[in-house]
Amino acid sequence: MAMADSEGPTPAGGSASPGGAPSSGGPSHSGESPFGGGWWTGSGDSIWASTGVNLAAVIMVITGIAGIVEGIAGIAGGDVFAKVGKYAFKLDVTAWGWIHLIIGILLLLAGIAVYGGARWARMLAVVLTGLSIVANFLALPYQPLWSIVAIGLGVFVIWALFSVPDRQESRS
Amino acid sequence: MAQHSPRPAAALGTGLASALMILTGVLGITQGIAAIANDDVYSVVGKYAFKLDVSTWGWIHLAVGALVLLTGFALFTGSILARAIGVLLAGAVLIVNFLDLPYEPYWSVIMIALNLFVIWSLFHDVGPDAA
Repeated sequence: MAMADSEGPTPAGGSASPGGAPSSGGPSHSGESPFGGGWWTGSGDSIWASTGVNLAAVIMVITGIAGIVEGIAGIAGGDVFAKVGKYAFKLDVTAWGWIHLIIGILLLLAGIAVYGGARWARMLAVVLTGLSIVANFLALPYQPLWSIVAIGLGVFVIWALFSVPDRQESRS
Repeated sequence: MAQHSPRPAAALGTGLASALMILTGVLGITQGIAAIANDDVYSVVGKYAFKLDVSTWGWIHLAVGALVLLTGFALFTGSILARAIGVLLAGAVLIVNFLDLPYEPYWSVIMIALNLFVIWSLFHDVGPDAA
């Protein structure tokens, strides 16, 4: 994404290569963003328009797989999980495993849906990722470091989901 | 925001901040519930300048978490007041979690990091319409 800052305007609809020649023309078209027609303006034809969505989709798929693995470990009842005493959100390690597994599968599927670029998929993805973060926060006493990693991945997903251009609201 | 170009306030600009505040609000509430129930996940702390009963910390987490949650919803309106309150609340959550870190370090570390991100997101609109 940082690469895009140095690229200059990408011709909309063109077959611009990411490493194209630096633009010599003025950057702004009248009435558009002062930054010209880059990925951030949401012009759907730009190669960068899909980059952000792809980023969110890829991290979601990874987070989903991590959740599935976490879930399988929990269902199998491994010794990697700590014994927890009195706890308001106490559940069987197996129950937490199923929760992680199901949320992980949903995240994986939503990540694939996000790849399509639909707006509803992104809203669903934000909600699902939020659920995943809350579940990991609650299950943290059982395996703190896994939960911390999963929460970090989830926050990155949410950032990516909000930071991508919305193709439906293209202003060009 | 207002001093930028005449671009309309983008709904997506504060979307990230809203989502993050709703999320941290829910997390704070659950953190509070666990503490009020006097759970064993909280360690016993000896002499400590900011020592409070675990239940007391729980009520603080619960109350502040609820306020953060409400502010997260208020941010959907794009209100500048909601942003300012959001920054103050996120800062308060950050400090509360710093103070009660000895009781449950991992949760506090996560909440501190998330609230830093909340403050960042309140100052930076993201999305296609935000420059």
